[in-house]
Amino acid sequence: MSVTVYIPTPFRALTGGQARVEIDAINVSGLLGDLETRYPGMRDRLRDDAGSLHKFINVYVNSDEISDLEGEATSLKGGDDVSIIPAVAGGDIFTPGQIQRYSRHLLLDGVGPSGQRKLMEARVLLIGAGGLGSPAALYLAAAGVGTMGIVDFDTVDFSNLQRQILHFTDDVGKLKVESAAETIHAMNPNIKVEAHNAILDSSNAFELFEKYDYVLNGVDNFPARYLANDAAYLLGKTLIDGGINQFEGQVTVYKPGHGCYRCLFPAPPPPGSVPSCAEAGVLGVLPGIVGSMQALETIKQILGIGEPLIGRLLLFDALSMEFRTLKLRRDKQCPVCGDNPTITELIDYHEFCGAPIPHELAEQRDRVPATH
Amino acid sequence: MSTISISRSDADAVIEHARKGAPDEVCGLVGVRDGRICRLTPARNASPTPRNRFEIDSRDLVQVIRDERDGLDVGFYHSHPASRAYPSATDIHFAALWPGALQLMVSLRNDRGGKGVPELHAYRINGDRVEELRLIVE
Ligand SMILES: [Zn+2]
Repeated sequence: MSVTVYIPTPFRALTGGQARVEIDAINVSGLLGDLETRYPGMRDRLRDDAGSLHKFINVYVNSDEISDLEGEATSLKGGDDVSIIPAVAGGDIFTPGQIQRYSRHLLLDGVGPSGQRKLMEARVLLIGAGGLGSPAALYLAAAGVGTMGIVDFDTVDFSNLQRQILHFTDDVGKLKVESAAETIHAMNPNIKVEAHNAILDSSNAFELFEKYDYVLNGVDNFPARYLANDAAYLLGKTLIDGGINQFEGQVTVYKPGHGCYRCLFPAPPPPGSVPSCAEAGVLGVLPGIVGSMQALETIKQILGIGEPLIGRLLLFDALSMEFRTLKLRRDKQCPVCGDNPTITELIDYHEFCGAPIPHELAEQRDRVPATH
Repeated sequence: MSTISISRSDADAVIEHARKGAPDEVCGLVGVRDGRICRLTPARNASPTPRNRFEIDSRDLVQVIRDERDGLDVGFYHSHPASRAYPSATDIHFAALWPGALQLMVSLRNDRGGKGVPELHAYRINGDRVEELRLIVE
């Protein structure tokens, strides 16, 4: 049974310019097979590597597209008209809503449409939805960072509200990851929040970190800080670290090969020598400033602009309103990123945040790196 | 720069179609003869995410065959409700299915809900080469 096949203009180079060819076939599958044999190159235009018809190729029998009939099994009878027509499609990079929302980015040299696209495709893991994680999450969400993972096992407490601005009074008692997701969605419904209601430990750190491009650390205890450092280094991920203590804050970016937290502090201090997290006070706005700087450094990493805080530790004194920068160097003796690393797998340190501090050790806490 | 012409009424029809469809993208077909757009066929946008995507509904795409039967060259139009009338990376990607076809684009970014200035531009896209045509509205 002979049917007439309409060849679209883009394919006519293959048929020697012919717009219509006659083919004997009992169904569409046979017809396409015959076309493919007759015209070398046709198969690539019609099918993907797996042999399925390309999604963007429409095949009509008379005036019906075969997906509305029986697909390639659609039978043919003499005199049928078969037409092959490539789809006509396209689209803008952004929706009108996104163009409005991100207009100040789109206008900015260094971001622009391609930078905004990078932000929207970025995946950032936040460890902790507390004092540092809150402002960081809000600013990353506002900037359009497409996917944010949040790891936290805690529930919202009244004492959090003084600085943890992801959570509101009504959220007290809720899981922090749930409260965080709600606040982020209220601010920017385009953001995908992946809530991990878990304690970060050696059993899950690799699995969690692997799924993200960058890790932003807002933890308030040593075990998690060492774990984040080691896991990020071992997976080759850049870690944006921040810490606060009473009136002081610090920020840095650890990029594998340029030093890590253990280059500064090879091992945690002995249990009992650090103040209890619950007891250590912190000035309300301070984590907002430090967490915002972490968000900024994360965005700079995603966009690839500016001078990142790699190899530099930024110290901020809220009382004197002074910033200082210390140079950090990779330590060849570092147990993780040194020349002869001794730590090649993850370690669970004891949870000693919350342990009572003996008075005689209280003095030492000033020498201990800031946490929270 | 080669030129292409369109009647005032056809240009207005494309702009009106875009305005009616905003904030979604709209699309359609154009038939060209002797450097002049002489037929306009609005189509349905079959994309599931029409805010920033378009795909001419397969039921409307058969117009291609009619236009050709009538001796017209096949071209297309679509709108960018909020950004400039220039092919996006996605537009260029899909234009590879129809190399060299006339692509008419309308932007409503400065249209201010019909009180501002719509923009209309014409292109031919071959691979990643975008050639703008001089569009004469007469
Ligand atoms: Zn190190």
